[in-house]
Amino acid sequence: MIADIGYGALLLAFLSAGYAALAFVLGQRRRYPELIRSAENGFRMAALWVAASSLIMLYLLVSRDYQVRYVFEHVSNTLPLAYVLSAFWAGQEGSLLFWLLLVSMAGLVVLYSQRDAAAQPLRPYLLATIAIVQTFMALVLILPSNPFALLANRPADGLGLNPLLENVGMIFHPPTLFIGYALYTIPFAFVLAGILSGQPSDAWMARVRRWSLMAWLFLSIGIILGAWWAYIELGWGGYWAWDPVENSSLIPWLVGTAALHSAAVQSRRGIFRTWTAVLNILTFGLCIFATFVTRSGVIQSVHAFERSSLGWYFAAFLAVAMAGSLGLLAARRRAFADNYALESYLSREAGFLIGNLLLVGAATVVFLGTIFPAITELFRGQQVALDAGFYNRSFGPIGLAIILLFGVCPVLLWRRTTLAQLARRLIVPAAIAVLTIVVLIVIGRREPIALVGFGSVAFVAGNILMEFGRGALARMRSAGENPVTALLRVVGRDRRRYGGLIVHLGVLLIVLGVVGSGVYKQEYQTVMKPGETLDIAGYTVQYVQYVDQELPDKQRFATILRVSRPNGAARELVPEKNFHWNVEQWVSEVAVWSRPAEDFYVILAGLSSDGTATFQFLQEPLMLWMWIGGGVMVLGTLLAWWPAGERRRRSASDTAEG
Amino acid sequence: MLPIIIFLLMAGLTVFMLVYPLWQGSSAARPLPAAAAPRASAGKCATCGRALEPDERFCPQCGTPAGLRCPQCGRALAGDERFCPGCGTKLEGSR
Amino acid sequence: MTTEGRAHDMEMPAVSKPRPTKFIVGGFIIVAVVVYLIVSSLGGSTAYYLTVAELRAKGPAAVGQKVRVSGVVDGATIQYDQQNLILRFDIVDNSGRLPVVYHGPRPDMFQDQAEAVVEGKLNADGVFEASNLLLKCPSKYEAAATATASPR
Repeated sequence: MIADIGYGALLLAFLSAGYAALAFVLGQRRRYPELIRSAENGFRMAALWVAASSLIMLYLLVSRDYQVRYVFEHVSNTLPLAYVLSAFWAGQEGSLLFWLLLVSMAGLVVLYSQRDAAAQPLRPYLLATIAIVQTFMALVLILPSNPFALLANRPADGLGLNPLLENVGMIFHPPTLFIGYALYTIPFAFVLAGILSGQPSDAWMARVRRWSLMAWLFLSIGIILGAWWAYIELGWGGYWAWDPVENSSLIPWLVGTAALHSAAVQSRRGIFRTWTAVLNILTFGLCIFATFVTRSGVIQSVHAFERSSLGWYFAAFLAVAMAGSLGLLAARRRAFADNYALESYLSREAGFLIGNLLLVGAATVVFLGTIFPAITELFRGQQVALDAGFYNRSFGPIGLAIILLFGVCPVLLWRRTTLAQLARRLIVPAAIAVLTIVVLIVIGRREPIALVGFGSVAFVAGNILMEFGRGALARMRSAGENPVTALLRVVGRDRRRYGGLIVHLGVLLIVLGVVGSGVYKQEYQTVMKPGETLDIAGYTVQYVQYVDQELPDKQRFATILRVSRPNGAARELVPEKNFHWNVEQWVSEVAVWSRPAEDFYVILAGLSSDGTATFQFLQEPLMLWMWIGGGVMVLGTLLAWWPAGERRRRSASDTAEG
Repeated sequence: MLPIIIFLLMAGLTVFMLVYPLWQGSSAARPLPAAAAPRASAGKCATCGRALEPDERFCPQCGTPAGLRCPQCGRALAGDERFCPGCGTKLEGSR
Repeated sequence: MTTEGRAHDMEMPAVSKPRPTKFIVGGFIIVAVVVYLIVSSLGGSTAYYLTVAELRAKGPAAVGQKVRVSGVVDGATIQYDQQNLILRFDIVDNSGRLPVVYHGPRPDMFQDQAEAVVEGKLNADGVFEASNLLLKCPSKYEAAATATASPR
């Protein structure tokens, strides 16, 4: 019964959002303010009903009402509460409802935050666009993907969660990605509203900045969490398989990064207006595409083309949304025309432009690779798959070029830089890079990828640190402050810039992990009986004990290892192989000793009844820096996002700092 | 039975919220969400003097067509005069 | 050098000269490089999806060519050498049966009736040497779902 009310709430949300979209547009065009107020109420009611159906879904999950098919498929009697709650976004229907909830909440924030006079021409179109997106999502939830569908009778127990997904990372990874996807609706709505209302984009672009940063932040967190989960849970020592679902989250991230940088140029120089608008539109479209790929199973690793009608809905919406917005942009392109053009290759604008082209190029590479099997099937009747080698060979060089650009862009001046100025600023980082390469060669690490990779990281890191240094020094001289205060103050004054530089530093740390583990990974395989000790790769591994334990949800087979190093440090590592009763499936758990220099990664590959075990030991250098880098990226983004201390009145120009 | 009743209540609330501003509308003050441009360009009705929006074709108060008329003597104007040819009043407010 | 961002430079004189050709050229160069990278990386990375029968039909030409074959694991044929991590099994699709050998730990989802995609090359002796083994959740899990979940 409650599930029926939930469905009813979705129906009302669909109708309210649809009404709101129409009423906003009509009300604005006909100068009918009452209709606009009615539309606002429609918007609020849609959010209310979406929240209601979400609460109902949570209630159904927690009360384990297995007659609701979605609850049956994702919850079981023994499932811990945390996973019962996270089941909300674990499956297709629930995640789409979650998506709709996020868009509705974001919409409410927009409704209440864009109330100043300058926002008025935009506001109805802004809210109408958000409402249209909500209408689509609600339609999908009402028709092909009903989260409240019922079974004929009520089973005694549910299927529960796939044990592979019972991991902290899996609680947070899908929702952070979905938050990112949902939040990108807002910049898209702003662009469309700007086009429809005829407002020049410089006037409202600044409002979009914080939304774009938040969306980008969550997307970044989601991707990094996904990589971390893959590393820990999937148990092959890798973190990225260029799998279609992984790729589908990376593509909007790349284009979204380009959109952020393009917007930064627009806010400072008033150019790249069309670029910024197009990139924001595309990012949103790619988020829809990613939601679709992830949840509809259309492009799969194993069997492709399990068509469900969900695919058609998404494809239609995507086509209409993209064609419509890009078409409207083309029709009104004069409002987005730049006042003037680039003057010189050696300028920061040009650097950003090249960077954007590279980012879009990288996104294209990943996109084409992802849909390649679908395309070949369409044209040749036969699916052709691409392996990781394709991505490494095509994405790698582009990634390298982007990294190098990080190093050069901050020292390029706006409009025009002379070669002499450039050389003067780059000489020290270049020297650091050369020194790094020489040191590497001397200590015997001669692989070209490592030399190029570490050399580039050194070059760019040197540059970024010098930027901080230059800023602090300038302030020390002018304000007479001590170094620490000067540094903090100069960063606090230009949070956008320094936040961005910190994000770049985070990316460099990730590159360290990628290069280190990619080039210098070592793999060993050995058989041990309980009680045996082995010296391997600089570690002493003692197989202490074999555990065979029956638990309510699984049969636990564990091997307790004591791993120590020459300097006396030691850890207990317990790799496991567990047989989960509910799904009759094995799940392996790896054990990892993370140190800054390398990860020591142990996989229990085979086990006999007497405890004889086959282990795989992986040495993955510098992996820890990947996760540290992710954290640094998050901190940098938060800094860039942080609102200015002196809260200016919103009706004043929001186009300035903060 | 109960779910249907609850649903009808929800639907009723929704419809009410949507319709109320429309019904309530005409008596409330109207902050028309127009462009932020200053309102100096609005003219005045030649007959009753009420301030007119740029796109209002008829004065809402007295029904006089909002044509170009001298606010003083009501004489029809071409639109680019500085002073009324009929009574000499200085004309203000450009469209 | 001031790094403070300013509001957009609307005060600058509007120079409406058309974008110089050198930037169009520069843009094209980048596009060309990306296209080149894509096309050149395709070679050696592609693997055709084939059925067992198609693979057999290719005869000796199939030996050494990287392909992907999908099918269902036949539990009765699974042999796992735990000490050396060598996994042997047959996969079956509706066109035939293919013996496979895979060097590596037995994947968790590997069991009778699991849907698998093997990527690798056919050996001269008719055994498929898999370099990659992709598994989907075994159909038993979904069968259980469909058996009890008949929507009304």
